[in-house]
Amino acid sequence: MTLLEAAGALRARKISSVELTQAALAAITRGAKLNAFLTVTDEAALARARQADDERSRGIDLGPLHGVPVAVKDLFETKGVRTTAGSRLYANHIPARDAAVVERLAAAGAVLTGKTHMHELAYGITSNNPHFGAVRNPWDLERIPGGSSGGSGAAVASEMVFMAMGSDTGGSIRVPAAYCGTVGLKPTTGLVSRYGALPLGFTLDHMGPLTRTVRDTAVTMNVIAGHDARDETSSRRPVPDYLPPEHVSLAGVRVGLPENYYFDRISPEAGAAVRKMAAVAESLGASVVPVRVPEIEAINQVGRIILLSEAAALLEPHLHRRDQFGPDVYSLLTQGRLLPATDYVNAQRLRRLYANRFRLLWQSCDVLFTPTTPIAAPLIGENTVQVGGEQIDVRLLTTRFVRAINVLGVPALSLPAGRSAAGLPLGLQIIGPEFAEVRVLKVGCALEDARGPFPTPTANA
Amino acid sequence: MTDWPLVARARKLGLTEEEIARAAGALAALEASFQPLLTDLSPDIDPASTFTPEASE
Repeated sequence: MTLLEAAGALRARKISSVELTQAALAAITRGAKLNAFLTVTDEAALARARQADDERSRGIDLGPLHGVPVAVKDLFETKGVRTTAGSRLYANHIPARDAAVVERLAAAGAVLTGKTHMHELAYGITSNNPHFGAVRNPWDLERIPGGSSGGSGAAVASEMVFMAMGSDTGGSIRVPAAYCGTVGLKPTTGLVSRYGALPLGFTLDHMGPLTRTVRDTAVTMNVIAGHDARDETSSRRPVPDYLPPEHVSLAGVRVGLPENYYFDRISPEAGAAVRKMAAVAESLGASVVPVRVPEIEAINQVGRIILLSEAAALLEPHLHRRDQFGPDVYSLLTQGRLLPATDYVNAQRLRRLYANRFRLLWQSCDVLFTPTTPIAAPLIGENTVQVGGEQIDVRLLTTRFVRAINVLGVPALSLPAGRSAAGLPLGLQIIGPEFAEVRVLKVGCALEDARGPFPTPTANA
Repeated sequence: MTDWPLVARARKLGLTEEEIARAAGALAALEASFQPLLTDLSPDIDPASTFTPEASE
């Protein structure tokens, strides 16, 4: 069942919020081996569900999320509920406030079932957390779910909740979406408030949903997008209705298919899945145009310098507590501490330059199709993988197609494009110009409608 | 190119030799790909970091 189907069943009184929430909590318990949650707020969830049922009986309808079980990554602050960011530093952090996203979900009547597990401090893509254990991929328990929002990806894919919030600093929504076979949206910078979300990269962090369908992501965006004065980067643009119509046409849409970079160092099946989706788009009326993506490799390097510097600056006061950090995160923080300030400033200058050059891409296409990741989910503990005869670092390879998008601040949607020979999900990334979420979601929706429902993983069954 | 192990030791961050080697290897590779980009910069390009002078509270 999708979020919108659940909302329909609630409105038709075919099911109650309490029943949906009990089913969600039972699924979370059944799926304990996935380690998708750090905290389950079962009593509060059932209380909110009872309240939602009561509200509905009195004719109150707060929208599609009213009474629907959801979760948020454990870096969104939740008043009175532990918020760890997957770190020992915050192991006992009980916030006195809710994050803006949590406030908005609550106001929309969503039932918060708990806090999802994640890579330590959101600084990595495996969600193999040295302090709280590894999150496991529901398609194959020996594989990573991606990260850093790995618990959110695993929880949504395995049907524990209908939506889970993630954060994305260099791919951390889109990578778990791709590896777990869900939809994930990194919105335009400033569209969703960062207030109350523990930061990692001040100028790279984005908040967005993971769901099982594009339409579910759209209705979630209708709730969480919009100006928040508490976030200095928050946009004042009016928020449109993100939900695409029932029948979507792609007539007149120009889909850019990269000639450079995005099909290098990639497994053949990941590339084939994207080309197949481009052919589907063409069959739905779109024109597919070959494009050269400007400066993309350089933007990746710029993004690495910025994140290394910002994360190290953020965590500098804690770095004398060596035992509080896992080795992979500590190594990245060490690199950031050693970089000169001039590199950071120049990276931010190059960012402006390259963003202007990248913008020219939209003269020749309306959206860009790329693989989300060059490979399907690697094994837990696998540090390098072989691609095209080359042994490549898993973190660098996994973030290769997603990191630059955070530097540019434009929206990017990942949705399942197919499965590998081993049965693992492969993701398509749809990138659009800034604030073109309506367009990106429309294209994703058309492809999803043409593809039909993506299978549910069975490894956790 | 930068002598990253020397920089790391000079900073006296309490790093082990293994930690220094790991960071230095990564930084050397990053430096090799990043430094050539600087030739793209002209003096009129400001950083893209965010700041507004209005009070935020």
